[in-house]
Amino acid sequence: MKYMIWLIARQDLKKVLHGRFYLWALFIIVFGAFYFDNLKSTISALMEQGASIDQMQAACRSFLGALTFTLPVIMATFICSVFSNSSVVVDKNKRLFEPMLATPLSLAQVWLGKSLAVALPGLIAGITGTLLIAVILNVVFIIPAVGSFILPGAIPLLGAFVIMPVLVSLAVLMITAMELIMVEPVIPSLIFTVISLGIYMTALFQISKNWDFSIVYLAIISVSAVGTFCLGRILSKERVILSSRG
Amino acid sequence: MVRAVYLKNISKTLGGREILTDVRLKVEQGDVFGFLGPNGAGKTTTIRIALGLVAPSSGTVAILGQDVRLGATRKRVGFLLEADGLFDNLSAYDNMQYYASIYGVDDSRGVIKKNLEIVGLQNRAGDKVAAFSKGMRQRLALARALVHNPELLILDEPISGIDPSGQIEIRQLILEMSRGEGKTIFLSSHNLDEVQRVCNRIAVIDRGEIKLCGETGALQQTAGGRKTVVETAGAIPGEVMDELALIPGLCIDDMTDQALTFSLRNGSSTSDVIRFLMERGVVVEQVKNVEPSLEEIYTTILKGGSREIYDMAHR
Repeated sequence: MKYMIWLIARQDLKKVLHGRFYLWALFIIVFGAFYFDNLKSTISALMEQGASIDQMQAACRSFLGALTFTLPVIMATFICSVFSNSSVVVDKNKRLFEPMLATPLSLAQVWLGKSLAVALPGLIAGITGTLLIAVILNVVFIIPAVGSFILPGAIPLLGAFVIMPVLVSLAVLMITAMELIMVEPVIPSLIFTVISLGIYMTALFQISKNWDFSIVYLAIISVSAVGTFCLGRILSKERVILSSRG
Repeated sequence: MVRAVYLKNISKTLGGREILTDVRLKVEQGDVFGFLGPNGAGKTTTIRIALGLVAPSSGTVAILGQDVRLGATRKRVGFLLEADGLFDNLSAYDNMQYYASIYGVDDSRGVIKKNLEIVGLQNRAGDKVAAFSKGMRQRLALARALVHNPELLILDEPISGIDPSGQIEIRQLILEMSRGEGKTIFLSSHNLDEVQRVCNRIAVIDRGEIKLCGETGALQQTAGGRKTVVETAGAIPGEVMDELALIPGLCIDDMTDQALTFSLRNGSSTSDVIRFLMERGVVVEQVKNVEPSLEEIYTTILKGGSREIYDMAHR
């Protein structure tokens, strides 16, 4: 069972990752630039106010905490939305699911394999990208300003390494199931992209400055879990085949 | 012996429309079974049901004596569907390897290479499938269907869109798999020539109903009515023709200056007709029996079918 899921995922990963590493680099630059600018402004403002080293360290820790709590989700959902299109929507439009489902593979294996192929690059990119940006921020701004390497707090790290993977995995499972049974599979993929753009915009325009992301994430996890469960119940080979073109 | 395909009273309704009505099919092991029907007749839906891709609204499906929903059953079945399922960005070899892994086939003994050789693609193994023609794709899909050495092959329109030489190759392959390896082949097509050349049994489906099912040879002998052609030295006089028309059960199909084609339903025999002609001075040079082509049977069925054909299908 596990091997078959990995087999499907590996095949898709080979396909979607081929020549797409630029996406990861692009996201690092785009998202990083926004955070670099914000941190630089924060440190400059604190220096102008004559803040102490302790105050500056606390501010940097708080900034890195916010970054660690939000950036992995934003990056992961963006990358997942791109790969979801390549892995599921394109395959469905090419009617690749029908022969696949006629093999000994079960629908659950195909669903999980496809979801893994979509989620894995997003999760890896989200975590490594965030860590990379945190290290660069430390080296370029924080260490010269406060004299030491600052780590985010335990809760943001928990968010990045536990909550974010759960959230993204559930969201991907739900979106993949929707793509599998909808006649227009591009619609769930677009919804995914819009949601990730929305999260990014709230961060960019500081709309989410006072949001409690623990509650936001809990809400998303709950909705995704219920959605995944319900879609899992109605997912059938027949629905996948009959919703395919041709 | 366990039947390769057994569909019992299968019906399927989709969106309030009945796609299949009480479909009954039995395919014995070793058969090359032709499943004929025009576009939209229900062939693909029947195949999807046989492969466990679509659930019937009612009825029973058994493939090789087992439930097709079981992975173990599907492992014994090879298929070629209308959508070939090949990954364009992968090479022919990688496509084969992917499916070989799904079926748990160990390629250490060169199974993939052997199957690519069977379909004549051994020299293109490393090429990406995106560059393949329709015929090459179809051959590769056939090789993939064989990768796990299945007992039953379900082929949906295997020669559709292929050039004539490719059609001959695939037909040859099907015959080799059947005769050489004893595989059961269930072949759907709307190409009568293809079916007539390779299948020993056929079924005809139209508007979701099985109209005819039986051995190809037997159907040709009975379903369409055997015709007799009598070649004569000259034209048969008109008065003889008038008398001939009165012979019970005789139906004149065609008449030229040197040949008379007729079929007999009940009563008289061919020898009665020949004797009748000779007694009236007609010089008979040759007598031939002509079996109706599958095309004639098929056309008769699609036009509404004769009662005899319908009865035969449901015997």
